[in-house]
Formats: sequence, C-alpha cells, structure tokens
Amino acid sequence: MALNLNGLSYQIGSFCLTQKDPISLPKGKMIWVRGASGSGKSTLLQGLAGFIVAKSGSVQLDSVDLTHLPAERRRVALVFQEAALFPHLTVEENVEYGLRVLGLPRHDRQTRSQRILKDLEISELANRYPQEISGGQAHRVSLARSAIMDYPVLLLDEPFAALQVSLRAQLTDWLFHEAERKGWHVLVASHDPLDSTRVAHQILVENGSFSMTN
Amino acid sequence: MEAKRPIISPKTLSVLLSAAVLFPVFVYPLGRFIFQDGTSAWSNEGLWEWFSDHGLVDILVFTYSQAILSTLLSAGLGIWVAVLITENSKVWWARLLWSFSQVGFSLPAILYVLAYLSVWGRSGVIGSWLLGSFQEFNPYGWTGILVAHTFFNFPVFVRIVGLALLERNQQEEKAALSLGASRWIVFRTMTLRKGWAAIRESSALSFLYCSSSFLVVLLLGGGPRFTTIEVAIYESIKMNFDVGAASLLAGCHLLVFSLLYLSLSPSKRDVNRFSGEERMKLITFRPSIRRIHTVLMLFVVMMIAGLPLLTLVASILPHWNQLPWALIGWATSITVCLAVVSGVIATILSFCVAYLGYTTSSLKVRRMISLLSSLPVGISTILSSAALWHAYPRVVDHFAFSFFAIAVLQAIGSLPLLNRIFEVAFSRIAKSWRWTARSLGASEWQLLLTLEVPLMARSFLLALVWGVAFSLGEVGCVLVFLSDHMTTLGLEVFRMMGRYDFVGANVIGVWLLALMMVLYAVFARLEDEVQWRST
Amino acid sequence: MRTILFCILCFTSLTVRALQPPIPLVVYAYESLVGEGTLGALLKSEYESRYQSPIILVPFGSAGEALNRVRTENKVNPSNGRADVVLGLDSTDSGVDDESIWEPIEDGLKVNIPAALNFSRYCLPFDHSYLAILYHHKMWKNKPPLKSLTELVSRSDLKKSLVIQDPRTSSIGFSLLLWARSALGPEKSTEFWKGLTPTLVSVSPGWSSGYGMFLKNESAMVSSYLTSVAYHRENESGSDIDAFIFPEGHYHQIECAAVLKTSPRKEAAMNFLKLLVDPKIQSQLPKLQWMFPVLSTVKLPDSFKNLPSVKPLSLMATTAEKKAWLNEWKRNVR
Repeated sequence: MALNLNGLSYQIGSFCLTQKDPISLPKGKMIWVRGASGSGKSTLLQGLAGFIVAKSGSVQLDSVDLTHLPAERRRVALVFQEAALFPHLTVEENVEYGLRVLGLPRHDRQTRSQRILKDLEISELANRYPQEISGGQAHRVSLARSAIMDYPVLLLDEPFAALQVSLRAQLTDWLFHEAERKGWHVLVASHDPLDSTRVAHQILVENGSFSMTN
Repeated sequence: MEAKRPIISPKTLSVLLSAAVLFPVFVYPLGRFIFQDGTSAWSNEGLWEWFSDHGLVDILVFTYSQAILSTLLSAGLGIWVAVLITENSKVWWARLLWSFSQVGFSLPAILYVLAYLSVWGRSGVIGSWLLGSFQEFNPYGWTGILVAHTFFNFPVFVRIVGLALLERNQQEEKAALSLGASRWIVFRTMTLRKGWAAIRESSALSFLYCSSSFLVVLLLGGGPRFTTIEVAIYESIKMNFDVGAASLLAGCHLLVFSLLYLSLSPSKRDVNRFSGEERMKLITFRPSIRRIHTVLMLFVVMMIAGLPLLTLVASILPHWNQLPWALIGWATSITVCLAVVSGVIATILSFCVAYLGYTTSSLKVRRMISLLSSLPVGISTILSSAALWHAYPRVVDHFAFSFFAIAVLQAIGSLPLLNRIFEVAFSRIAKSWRWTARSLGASEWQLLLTLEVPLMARSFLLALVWGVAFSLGEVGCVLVFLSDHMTTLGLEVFRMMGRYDFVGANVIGVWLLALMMVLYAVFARLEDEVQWRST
Repeated sequence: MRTILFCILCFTSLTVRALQPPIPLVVYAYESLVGEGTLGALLKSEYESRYQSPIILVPFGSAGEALNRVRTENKVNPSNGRADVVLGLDSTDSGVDDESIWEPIEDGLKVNIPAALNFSRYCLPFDHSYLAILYHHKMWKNKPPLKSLTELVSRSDLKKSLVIQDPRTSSIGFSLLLWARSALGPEKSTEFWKGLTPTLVSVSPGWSSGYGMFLKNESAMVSSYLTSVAYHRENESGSDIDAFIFPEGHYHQIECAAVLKTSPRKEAAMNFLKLLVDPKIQSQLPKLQWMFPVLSTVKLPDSFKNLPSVKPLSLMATTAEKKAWLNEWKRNVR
C-alpha cells in the first residue's frame, strides 16, 4: 500500500507550496519532512490531512484518491506541535476520543486505550486532565490519541520540539516499530534531524516547493 | 468502521432554525404590513412633506447626536469599570459590581427615571441642594438623558469588554513591561488594542439601544425638540396611523444603523484567542493610582446607579406589607416562566446564529450574519409590534399562543447580546482542537456534540441566565401579544401607575429588583467557574 | 337503514353544535381597563355570570391603538370583523363618529345619561371627568391661585413648575391641546404654547410617568383630571393635592364604548353596553376608574362629592385637524 503524491500544490494567502516530482512512499516506513522554520512543512502536512484544499494534484493511498475527501474521512491522523489535548476530557478520554467517534463499545475502547497508554508509559495519567500534566506527557498522550486509530497514515508536526533528548529517542523508536509492525506511513515534520537509522526517506521543503531527496 | 454521514448538517439546521424564527416574526409581518398598507410617504410628495413639515432632519440630528454622546459616556464608564473589575477580580466589590452592573438590562425604564429623580431631581436628595447652590443646575434635558442612557448601557461595555479583557493572553503585556514600557503605554497600546473589537461591538449595540430610546428621552428631555425617531414613529403609527411615514422613518434608522454596525464590526479575526494557558492577574497600574481610580469609579457608579436604586428600595420599606400578594404571586410565576422559556429560546437561537458565523469562512458573510441578527432590535419596536398585531391577531385569543409569542419576541430582543457570548466562546476553541477531532474521524455533528458544545457548556448557562435577565423586566414585547389572563411584574408596574398606585408600582419594582439579584447571584456563581478558574 | 343513518347524523351534528362552546364576545380596551381589580375585570365577571357567555378582553396601549387596529381589520375583512366592542374611546379620538365603523347606539341605552354627555350617536359614554391643573399645597405656598390657563404663561413666579403630557403620545396630552384651543381660541392658544416652555419641567410621554414625577415633588403642578383629587382624598389622610378651577372652563373628557358594524355578535355587544351603564357597575366605577359615572342617579363616594363644579368645554378634531394641530404644537413648544 503506497502513498502517492502527484503534482500537488497548496496556497495559503500569498504563500504557495508546489510539488517538484512525483513521490511514492512505501508503507511501514518513517519519512522525515525537513526544512527550515517557515518553509512550509506544516502546510504540507495540513494539506495531506485535508485541512487545506489542494489547488492541483492528487493524493492517493493504494489507488484510493484522497484529494477531495474531507479530513474526517481520509483516515489520516495529524498530531500537532502543541499537543492540542481536549481540555474538558481526561487523558484516557482524550485517547479514546477517535474510537468513541467511530462508535466502538466502551469495553473495546478501554482495552485499547489502556494498552497504548501502557506502551507509552503514561498509564498513571489516565484520570488526569491535560492541565494537570507536563508538556512531555501531553505529547505522549497526543501521540497515543492518534496512534490508537491505527490509520494507514500518521502525520506528526514538530512532535519532539519541546522534548528532552532521551524522550525524543524513545518516542522515535516506538513510532518506528509501530509503523513497521502495522504498515503505517509515518511522516514527521521537524527542522531538527531525526535518527537516520529510523528514517527511510526524506522530503525536503524549501523555497516554496517540496521533493523527495532520497 | 466509518462515521455515518448526517442527513442534515449542523450548519443547515442552524440556518433552518434561525429562519424558522426570524422569518415569521419579522420578515413576513413587516413586509406584509408595509407593502399592504401602501407607501404614501415614499412618493416624492410624501418625502418632501416629511422633510418640510415634520422636521425630519431635526429628528435625525437629535436622535443620532444623543445616541453618539450617550454611547461615548457609556463606553467611558463601562470600559473604566471593566478594566478595574478585571484588575481586582478576586476582590468582593469587583465581584459584586460584575454581577449586579447588568441590573440596567432588566429594570423598567420608568422605575429608574423616577429613582434618578429621587436623587437628582429638583426635589431630589442631592438635586435640591444643587439647585439651591447652582441656579443653572438642571437634571432634565441633555443631562438627564445622557445619565439615564449611561445607566442602561454601561453594563453592555462592562460585560462584553470585560469578557474580552479577561480572556486575552497577557504574556505579551508582561513581555512589554519587562522591556521597559510604562504601564500606561502597555494599557493604551496593548490592553485597549486587544479589547478594541469588543469595544466596537459594544458601541454598535449601545448606539442601537440609545437611538431607539423612547420613554427616557421624552420624560427627561421634556419637549418636542427632544424627539427621537422612535417617538416620531410612535406618533405616525399610533396617532396618525400613517404606516408609510412610519416605514420611511424606520427605513432611515435601519440604514444608518446598518452602516454604523458594519463599520464598527471587527474587520479582521478576533485576536483574543484563548490558548488554554493559565490566566494571570492583569498588571497595568501602580497600586496607588489603581486605588484612586477604583474609588473614583465606584463613586461615579454609585451616583448614577447605586443611589437611585437605594432610594427606590428605601421608599417602599414602610409599605412592604400593603401589596396584593396573590396578584404578585401570579405575576411572578408568569414572569419567571416567561423568562425561562424566553431564555431557552434565546440561547438556542443565538447559538445557531453564532454557529453560522463561526462556520463561515468569509469575513463579509460573518459580518452580515452579525448585522442581520441585530436588525430585529434595530427596527422600531413600535412598527414591528404593529406589524405583528396585524399578521397574527388571533394569537392573543389563546393564553399558550400569547405566552409563546411573547417569549419568542423577547428572545429576539436579547439576540445581539447573547450572540456575543457564543462568539467569544467559539473564538476560545483552538483550531488545533477542531482539526485534531476531524483528523480522528469526527463528523460535523460529532465535532459539535463531543467537542464544541461540551467546551461551551458554561457559555450556554451564561447565555441562558442573560436571556432570562433580559426578559424579566421587559414590557414592550409583552404588550404586543398580551392576552386576557396574562400579566408580568413589569406590566404590573405600569398598571399600578395607571391606577394611581405609585407606591404599589415601586414595591413591585423592588420585588423585581430582588428577583434579579437572586438571578445574578446564581449567574456570579456560574461565572466563578468560567472566569476565575482555569478550564 | 338510510333513515336511521340520517337520524344519527342529525343527532350527532345537533349534539356537537350544542356542545360547542359559545363564541366569546371580543372587547378591545386600553391596557388599564384590563387586569385584576379593573373595570374590565368587573364587567367581564358580571357579563359572564349574567349571560353565561364568555368575553375576551384584548388590551392595547391606548384606545387610539385599538381604533387603528379596528380600521386595519376592516380593510382586510370588511364583512366579518374580529372585535365586537371597543371600550375606552373618548372625545379626543377622531373616528368616534365614523359611521362606516360603528353601529348606532339604541336610544334606549342612553335614557338615564345626561344629554351633555352624549357627544356621538355611535358611542355610549360610561364615565367622564374634566382636565385640570393639579398642584401641591406645600409647594404652592402663599402664591395666589391660578385663575386661567394664560396665567401659566404670564406669571413670572411659575418657572419650572409644571409637568404636562405629550399630545403626540398620550390622549390626555391631546386633551390639553384641545383645552387650550377651546378655552383660548386658535390664535391665543398658539401664543400660549409658545410661551409655556419656561414653565415646563417636563413633557411626559403618558399620564402615569408625568403624574409620578408630580408625586415625587418634581413639579408643583401637573395636568391631570379633576377627579384625581378624589383619589388622594380617599386614600391619603391630609392630602395636600388640589386643583385650580378656571372660570373660562375645563376640557370635558368623556369615555365611551362602541359596537363595531362588522361585529357578528351585535346583540351580545349591545348587552355588554347595557351592562356598562347598569347602576350596579356605575356605582363601583368611581373608585375603579377615578372618573365620574355617567348615571346621575348613582351615589358618589364622599371624596367625589366635594369636588367643585366646573364649566365644561368640548372640542373634537378630525384626523386632518389632529395632524395639523400636533404639528403646530411641535413648532411652538420648544
């Protein structure tokens, strides 16, 4: 199942981001979307997630055209830099949110959320509210919330910017293994380098365009 | 498993609900009334006659000049109070003022005017002394009009600007202070700038209410030179039954109001986004200057609002036990039921309108939605009530129809104020939350019901209480569809006055005031959770 | 079989007809006449118990508004109106003599009513009073009493001492305009209004707001009804409110009720009018309305008995005259 990007072009205000060459991303790999601050990495991820309408081009996932699908039907999860946890829900409820939207029974939701919280070592935070946890913990919760959906595509926008090095490495490892195991396409936008042993490909975003570099 | 597609989207439902209320209540009756009854004043002769005979220019000049001055004074006092309240949010007097400043929304105008005269009138407690010392002192005319309008409109600024000041991110101001900016510069260039959108909206609302003034202008102005458009419309409809002339005047007013509202409504997205960060105490003035400001502000509020209301209460104490309690009990139950129903309808309606604005990407369309939701209040109540009578004469035959019709009318009257609560609430929902929810598969309905509404739950309660408050002392809408067995506390005030029972009218007025105080105490309790604790 | 069915059908329709509630009599009235403890409430209970038929009282801000409503309803549906009676019209309402709207009143109903009160063949009077300038004794002090309307303008010791009602927004205000015109004539009344401004404290939108100001001692004088004095004498011990009596006369305001030509219930409407001038109702009217009853045989309360007699003045205005006189008033009173 490949994620194919062809001739994409996005516009926000006066800023235009254009794809240089066709990109085909294999499943089960982590891709680093790199570029300087303000180069358009977030624009690319938001466009792939369906929050910015493409001016031209197409996004295809295993021959299903996602280009004109609304965000909620693309099965593409987006994790924001600021974690964006819902303040009125506990950590556990935040993690279960997507499953609740899908209509999964409570028991199934709880089983899956408890498992992923344990994987990310944040089980003890289950009944706390987002205002009561640290930034690093919030990022793990945010990651858990998106990962639990088991979508084929997982986009992360500067997920490790505010985290300490050891935690960054831990989460990168976890993502890498989960992507491999479940066949996800994981795109991580970051201006800091990722562990090269974990990254299969890179997409360089600069000067208003983006292309695969290796 | 994928989320099911809805049959009808929340946006469509909002449009339908809003149209279902606003079309039959305003568009249809007004259109029918104006066009069915001819437009004699719209011909060239009619227009010329109006300009030459009726002093239309004088009416317009007075209407809008007093509205502008009243708005400026209300803004001055209201912003001053809002800033000091937000500075001292934990102090008892600030909380009291925040809770009770909106008494003006609900108090029948006649009660305040008589209370004002008890203090500042020629025989008033302070007025009589001033008259003895300064021969030129005159509590009537422009002075009386401006003071009364300030009393009724400064709460609009306190609420709307106060909310905006409480919700802004104060990191920037702290940064400016740390860079050496003086407190006054920080206040002028940052605090006020951040509240500017709220100030402009409050000004538009205040202008609307002041330019539609009727009883205050007549009673405290004292003479035909103090004629607002509303008085002229009243004369046309009720004395001359000249619908054409009335509609011409109403059309003028609507045009002026629309232009002003569009020019004052925010021209860019509200920058006061709540980022979920912890709220910090506002730092603007040095403690000593803050104390002087506080005392001065409290003095002014006391003179304009506190003293008159206290004299009203004091005047009825010897007569408290002389009332027909059975009648008051019935009037109270109708008043409270009407207020609750009206509040619920107003909350739902204003939420729908605010939701429409929120989900519209075009700024022009959002401004139009905001303007249209205020138009029902901008159209003369005299003209619209006459139109409604003619469109639905049988409504008053049935108590239930009459009750419900009044509730809907009152709900529409409070729409501009409640709309603002939901606009602020929607602006507090971060884009990242919405996008995250959508990327997790939430449909529009699921987004609304699992994210937006729960996050705004307290705003619903605030809007409900405010809608109830608006309805409590309201009389104009009650008179439109008043049926045989119906009465409200506000109406009983007028009825008692009509039967020479001014003491009884005052007692009912104080009873109404007491009801409002209880309601606002509940309101304050709810607001504690919204504004003085982090969400 | 067919016969049986026909009989069942007839019986059913007759039963349904019999069981249908009687159509209520619809009475339009100004707001103060509706509600507990009012004349309207008394009439309603008396009528419903006497005739076993319901009444709906529809309140309006003023009788003028009710009249306007009737005019519009007539335009829309001339053959079948909704209202049957309008209660509370008075001699200042232009249109009380409009034969296209009203049904003539039977002479039999007016038998015990003095001829001076019967100002229209379409309207049955039920109460009346006279406009007067009321004053506080305390505030008047030792000043010589007022002897005419013109003294309100000519005397220099009366600055900022009078509250009147706006003729554009209240019928008593318009009555004052008619009083000045009938007492002084058109030219002198113009001079009167031009010179009145220094005497005025306020021009209130209606009777109750102006009277409220007077009771708060904001003004030494107020224009009201002569019978307002009776209210204070009845309800307050040592009341200091009294009225100036002018030899030139006082405007005579007569309130009446009329039956609509389009009423589908004329007989019931006439019964209502009959009740209005019934001695039982008329005897209670003074303390409900604080106006004089029309029946001269009714015993007045003590508070009414000592009210002085006055010379009545009357003047009615057509719609065009009303508009013109109001415009003149607006130009003259600044």
